[in-house]
Amino acid sequence: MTEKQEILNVGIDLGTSRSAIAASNGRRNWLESFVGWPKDFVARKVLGKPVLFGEEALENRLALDIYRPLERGVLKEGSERSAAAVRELIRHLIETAKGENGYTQTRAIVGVPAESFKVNKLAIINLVADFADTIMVVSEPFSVAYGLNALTNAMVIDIGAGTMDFCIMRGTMPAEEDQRTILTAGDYIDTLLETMLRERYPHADFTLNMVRRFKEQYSFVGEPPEPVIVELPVTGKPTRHDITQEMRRACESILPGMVETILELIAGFDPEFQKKVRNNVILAGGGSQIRGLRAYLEGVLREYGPCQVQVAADPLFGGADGALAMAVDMPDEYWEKK
Amino acid sequence: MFTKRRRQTDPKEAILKGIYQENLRITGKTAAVGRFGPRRRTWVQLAGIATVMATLILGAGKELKSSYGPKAPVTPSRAAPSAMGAFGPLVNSEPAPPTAESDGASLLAQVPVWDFTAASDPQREDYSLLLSRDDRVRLSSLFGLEVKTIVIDPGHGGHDPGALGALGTREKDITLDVALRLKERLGKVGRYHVLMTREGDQSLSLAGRVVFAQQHKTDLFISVHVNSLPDQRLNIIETYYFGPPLNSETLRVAEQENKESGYALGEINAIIEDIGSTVKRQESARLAAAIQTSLFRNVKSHDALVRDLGIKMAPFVVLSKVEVPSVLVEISCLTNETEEAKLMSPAYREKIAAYMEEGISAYLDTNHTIALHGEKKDD
Repeated sequence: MTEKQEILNVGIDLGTSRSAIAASNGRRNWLESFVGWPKDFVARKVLGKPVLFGEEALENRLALDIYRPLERGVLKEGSERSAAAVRELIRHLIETAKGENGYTQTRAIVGVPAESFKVNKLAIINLVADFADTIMVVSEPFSVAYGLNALTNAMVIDIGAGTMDFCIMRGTMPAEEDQRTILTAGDYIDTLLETMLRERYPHADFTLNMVRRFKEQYSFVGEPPEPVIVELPVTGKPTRHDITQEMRRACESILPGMVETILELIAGFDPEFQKKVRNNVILAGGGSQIRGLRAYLEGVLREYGPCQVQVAADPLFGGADGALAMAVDMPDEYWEKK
Repeated sequence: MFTKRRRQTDPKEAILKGIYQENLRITGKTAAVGRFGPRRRTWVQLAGIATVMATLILGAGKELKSSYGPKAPVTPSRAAPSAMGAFGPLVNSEPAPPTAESDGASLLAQVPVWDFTAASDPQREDYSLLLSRDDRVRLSSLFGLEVKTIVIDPGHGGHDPGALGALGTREKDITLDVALRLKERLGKVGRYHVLMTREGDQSLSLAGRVVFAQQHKTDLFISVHVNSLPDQRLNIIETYYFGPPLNSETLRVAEQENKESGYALGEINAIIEDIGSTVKRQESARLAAAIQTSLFRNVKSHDALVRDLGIKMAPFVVLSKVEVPSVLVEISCLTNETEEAKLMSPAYREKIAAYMEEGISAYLDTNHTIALHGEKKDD
C-alpha cells in the first residue's frame, strides 16, 4: 500500500437534526444527531453500550440522558455535556467510516452554517481534532455547491433543521457578503406546527418529535397534494386528525424570509449575470424535500425573468459529499498536521 | 472509492486556497506570521512608538514645534493641520443618516480616514504608505499591537437604575446580565483577560469606571447600555465612540449616559478638548463598526422592525479618558414594550451577547489579519 492510500479523507455534515459522513474509502453513514448515555448502571447493563446514537438513542430515550447537542447547526452554549455529545457523535461517525481499516492519516472537512461565529468554528475544529489528524471547516451551502460543481453563477440554498443557509457562487471562494444564514428552517416549522396543533386539538397527546416526523412525511407549500390525516392519541385512543391547513401554514411560514434573502443576494450580483443565477438556483438539505417548494420559488422568481430551480438529488449526503470532494481535491501542502 | 481528481480548474484551485487561508485565520495561525515581529505590545506602548514615528516623519522642524503636543485642541472635522497634532488633520465625515439597511460596508465607509495628502512637507512623501488614505493601512497593525485585556462596562448600577421599561425592567439589570454573558463568551476564547467594571448591582461613577480601566491597563473598553427613546414605537441599535457631538440627538444620549459622571464642569471641558490619539480614534471607530454590524444584522434576522442608526461620535465621559479603543453600545430600546419583553428573556440576552461577541471577534480577527501591502506576498 502506498503512502497515498493510507490517507483517509472524510467529509462531515454536522447537522442540527442529522449528521452525515462520506469517506474516500467509499463508506457513507448518517444518523440522527442524538447522543444518549445510560442513566444508571442498570440501564448500562440492559442497553449493553456506554453510549447510543441516533435512532437507537431515541428508541431508548427513557433509559438515557439524551442530548441533541447542536442548536442551529452550532454547539449549544454553556453545556459541557453538549460538547461531549458532539465529540461522541464525531468519534462515532469517523470510526464507522474507518471500519476495521488502519490509516496513517485522517483528513476531515466539516460543514458548518454559513455565518457561524468564529468561536463555534474553532470549537468544532477542536472537537474533531481528537479523531482526525488534520481538520478544516467550510460553510455548508458552499460544500454542497462544491460537490455539485456549481461554482459559477449559482445559488445554493441548504435548508436544514436549525438554519437555512444561502451561498452565491461567483467562481471564487464565497465572501461573507455572498453567504447568509437565517433561522427560519426545519425546527422553526416544527415548533410552529406543534403550537398550531395544540391550539386546534387541545385534547390530543403528541410530542415535538412526532410533529417532526409528520413534517418529514407530509410537508408541502401551495395547494395540498392530498389531505394530511394523522393519528394522534386522545386519552390513549388513536384518533385521526386533519392537519392539512396547519401543515401548509407552518411550511409556508419560512417562505417570506427565504424569498427576501434570495432576491437580496441576486440583486447584489453583477447585473449582467443575474439572469444566469436565477437559472441556477439549487435547493439542498432536508427542507428541499418540501413538496411544491421548487414550483413556488420558480413562480416568485419568474416575476423577475426566466428562472430555474433545481433540487439536489441527495439531500442527505449533499453536504458530506461536497466536503469529501474538497478534502480529496485539497493539495497536500494545505493540510497542516497538528 | 474516491481518488484524487485530476481535473482541477483554476477556480477550484483558488477556492481550495481560499478555504485553506480561511481555516488558518480561524485557528489563529496567521497571527504568528507577521513582518513586524511578535504582536505583544500594548496600547500604552503605542504612545511612545507613535511619538517616535511622528518625530521621524516630521523631523525636528518648526512645524513639529507648533503642532505636536499631548493636549493639542482638536475641532471636529476639517480642523486646521496645526491643530491636529503631528499626524495631520482628521477628515472625519459625519456618519451617513441612519438607514434601515446599513451593512458592514457602509459602516466601514463611516470610519474616519486620516487625510495626510494635504501636507506640503516634502519629507512626508517618503512615508506614503504610513500616511496613505487607504484605510487598510492601520497604525495598530503597523506597530503589531495585540489585545490582551478587555474591560466590559455594564452601564449604570446601584442607586442609578438607568432607563426604566413600562414592565418594570431596569437598564442596570439588563446591562449587567448581557455583560456577564459577554465576559463568559470572550473568556472561552482563551486569548483575553476579560474584566468587568462591576459584577453586581453596585453604584459606580463614570470616573470610577475610567479609573478601573486605566488601573487594569485595558486594551479594549466596551460599555453596554440600553437606549431610552421618546418615541416608544422605535427599536434602534447604535454604537458610539468618543468624539465631538454631531447633532442634538447624540448630545441628548450623551447627556443621559453622562449623569453622575463624577467630573467637574471644568474637567469636562478639558476632556472634550483631549480627544485621543490617532490610533484610539481609528480603532474605536472600527470596533464600533464591527459590533454595530454584527448586532444589527443578527437582530434584524428575527426582528424586521429594528432600525440601524449606525456608529456615531459623541462626547461620552466614560469613553473619553480611556486611552484605548473604546465604544458605548446601545444594544436595544427599553422604551419599546415588545423589546422590553424580549429583554426579560435570558435566551434573548444570550443572543445579544453572542452578537456582540461576533462583532468583537470580527474586529480582533481583522487586527490579526489586516493586509498591509507587503503582507499580501505571504499568501
